[in-house]
Amino acid sequence: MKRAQQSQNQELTMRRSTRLTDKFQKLPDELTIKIFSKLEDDPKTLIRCSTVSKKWASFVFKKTVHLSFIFSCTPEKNRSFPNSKLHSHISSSAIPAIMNAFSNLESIEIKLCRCPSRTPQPPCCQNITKMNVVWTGDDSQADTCLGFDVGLLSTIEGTTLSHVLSEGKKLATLLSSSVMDFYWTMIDHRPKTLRRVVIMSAKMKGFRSGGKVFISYEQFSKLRDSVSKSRVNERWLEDPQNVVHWHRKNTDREHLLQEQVWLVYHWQFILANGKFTTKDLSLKKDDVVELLDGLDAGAAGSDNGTEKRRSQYHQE
Amino acid sequence: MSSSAENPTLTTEITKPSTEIATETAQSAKKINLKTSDDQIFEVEESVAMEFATVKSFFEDAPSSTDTVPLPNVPAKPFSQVIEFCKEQIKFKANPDETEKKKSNSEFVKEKTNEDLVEMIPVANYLEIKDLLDVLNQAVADRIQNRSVEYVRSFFGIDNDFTSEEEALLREEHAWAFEDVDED
Repeated sequence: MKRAQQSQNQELTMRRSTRLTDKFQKLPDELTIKIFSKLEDDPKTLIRCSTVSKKWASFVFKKTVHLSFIFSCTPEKNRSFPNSKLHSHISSSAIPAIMNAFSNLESIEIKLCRCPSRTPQPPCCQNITKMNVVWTGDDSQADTCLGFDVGLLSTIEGTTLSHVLSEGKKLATLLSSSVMDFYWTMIDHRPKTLRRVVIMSAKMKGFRSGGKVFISYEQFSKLRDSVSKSRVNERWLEDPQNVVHWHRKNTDREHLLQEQVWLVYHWQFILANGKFTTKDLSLKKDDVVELLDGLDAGAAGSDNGTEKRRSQYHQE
Repeated sequence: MSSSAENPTLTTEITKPSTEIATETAQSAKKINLKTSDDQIFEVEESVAMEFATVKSFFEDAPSSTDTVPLPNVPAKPFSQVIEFCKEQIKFKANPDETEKKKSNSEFVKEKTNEDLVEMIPVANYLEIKDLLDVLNQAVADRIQNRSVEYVRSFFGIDNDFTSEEEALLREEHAWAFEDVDED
């Protein structure tokens, strides 16, 4: 017991003296890098770590192979939106700098939030997207799911939906979306190591709580059959022949036509030998479910979302 | 327990009585002596010691060897905290409950100082306690999240070797990442 006491005193003295010279033992490099791998969904902190020292800069920028983050593209000079921990407002001009700095990136997962707008947006502008880009050399293939909000079921009873989109208009909407913006920046500035990018819309929690009917363009004209006597025709809506996916609102047993109608498309953008082509793909229920799942996981500031993304990545 | 950082001897004192109590209740529980780099001997129950992959393979390689295992890379202070963690972990082996385990893990890191966490990382790595290493790395990542560069430097005890021009350039290139940072 006495000996133990002595050695404990000895240790205390030793600790005190080491503390004076060096606050604590420095971590070996390979262990520091493991900490950085926990920050791959927080590029904001990672980038700040790169300014700690030259060695850290090379670890952060050379060893990071995966990034995932939530952000919204803000206008260049607009700094008035506050940033939260996991959700940054980045002007799109900052993206090339990120791409250049992380020179060994292999995959990126981006959740794009809608930039808060002071002017109300017309219904047809509300859209959700999921784009999955895979590169083989310089060629790429981008599977894109796009959904437009075209109004409530109740509005189709008397007249047709007011926001019927022409084929041309749907493409124009997609091309002007922030997801596409990001896609172009990515194509121009990506590090050569980059093989996979997922870009998708992020929504706040609760997006799924309302009932939603997802239909394809071909099914659109038949939609009025889903409504009879001011009630939703449940059997019609549940038939995959008529509707791609009916996301029921759990609490609403009455179905008073408050379902939002979403027109969904599925394309493939193929970039091969410098030539750009598009191909229409058929749409399955699973595509829509995946889109909805992504929206939930990406709810800004949601800790569950972070954990889910982390574990997803580690399973790969 | 939270005062362990101020008084490193305290945790070793806690460790010892608890193993004694275990002796009384379970006579058969085998003990293993582990010697730290600063020559302290810890008497640890075999089930706890087997959580350390490094110690486990030591016995697998030489089953009938000495009763004291030297741990040349492990100082006593972080080691006593690592033992504390493993004792908790063992409870979940018999009774797996992910929610409780997570809660226990976050309780464990919550009461540790920054210094405690950073000191335990090499120990967990050397002893190959994968779960603990993961918990520690995550805890450190959480603690530097959204903190200033200066805070991170002092957290890890790292000297800035950038010239002020170089640093200014880096900050300018990714200006967004340096905005709205938590106060130190």
